[in-house]
Amino acid sequence: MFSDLVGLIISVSPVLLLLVWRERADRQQHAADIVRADVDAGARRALEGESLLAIRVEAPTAWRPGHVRLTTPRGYEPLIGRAFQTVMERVPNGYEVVIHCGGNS
Amino acid sequence: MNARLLAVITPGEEAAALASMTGLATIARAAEAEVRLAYFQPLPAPRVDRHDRPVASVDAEMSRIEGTATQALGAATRMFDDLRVETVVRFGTPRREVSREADAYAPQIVVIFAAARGLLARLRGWALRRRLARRAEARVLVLAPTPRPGDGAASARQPALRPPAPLPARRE
Repeated sequence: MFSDLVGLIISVSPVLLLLVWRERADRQQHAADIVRADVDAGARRALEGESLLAIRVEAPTAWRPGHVRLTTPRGYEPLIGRAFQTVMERVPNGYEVVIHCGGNS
Repeated sequence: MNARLLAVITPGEEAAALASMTGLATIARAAEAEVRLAYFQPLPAPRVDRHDRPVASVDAEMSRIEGTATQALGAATRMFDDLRVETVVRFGTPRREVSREADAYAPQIVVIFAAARGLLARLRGWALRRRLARRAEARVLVLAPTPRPGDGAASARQPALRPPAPLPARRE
């Protein structure tokens, strides 16, 4: 009886762990989507409409914080400056702001 | 000028930092921040000739590195003309010195330059960011170079160019 129970737990636990991990990842992705929407709305307001500023949000994981990535085409870096204050106000704790600009231009 | 911005340059990130100065200036101007460019270097060894006779002491090497770094960073920060910028060079274990500098300067924004490098350097950068992120009062900002379509993983995903197929032989 006891050995059957242990066998059942051992065989079921990987599936349960996987489900728990997926549930947690889905929740964090959902939170990241909300952050993205909030940051995007703020940036649009700051830039007075659609712009060439691309915003991508990656959810935090166990080994790294979340990333809010701001990218512009070459020569459009001032857009980041105009939206910077708004973005920083809306990025929650546990997220890093990663700005892609200037490197190879 | 109400915010303080600390830009951290660790060994191996010099080129990325110099390339990202435009971005740093844009951010500093947007945040109306005063900028401290901090260049961290491990303590240099004394320079000796091939007979192990000392040519330059540790102090001389430090002042040489400091002079070179200050000159290079000073030239790169000319675009910060309307902002207050200072350049400092710190010697010692970069990880420890960065923490000390962050404690002493108490910045609101810490800027780290990310360069595409080896695995060990990336791990070191990751540990540094984790350490800085624990400081609740400072926001960590990463300035990364824009990847070009032909660089690294992006080019690996693109199909390789194939030579054109030979024309079929003409039948007479």
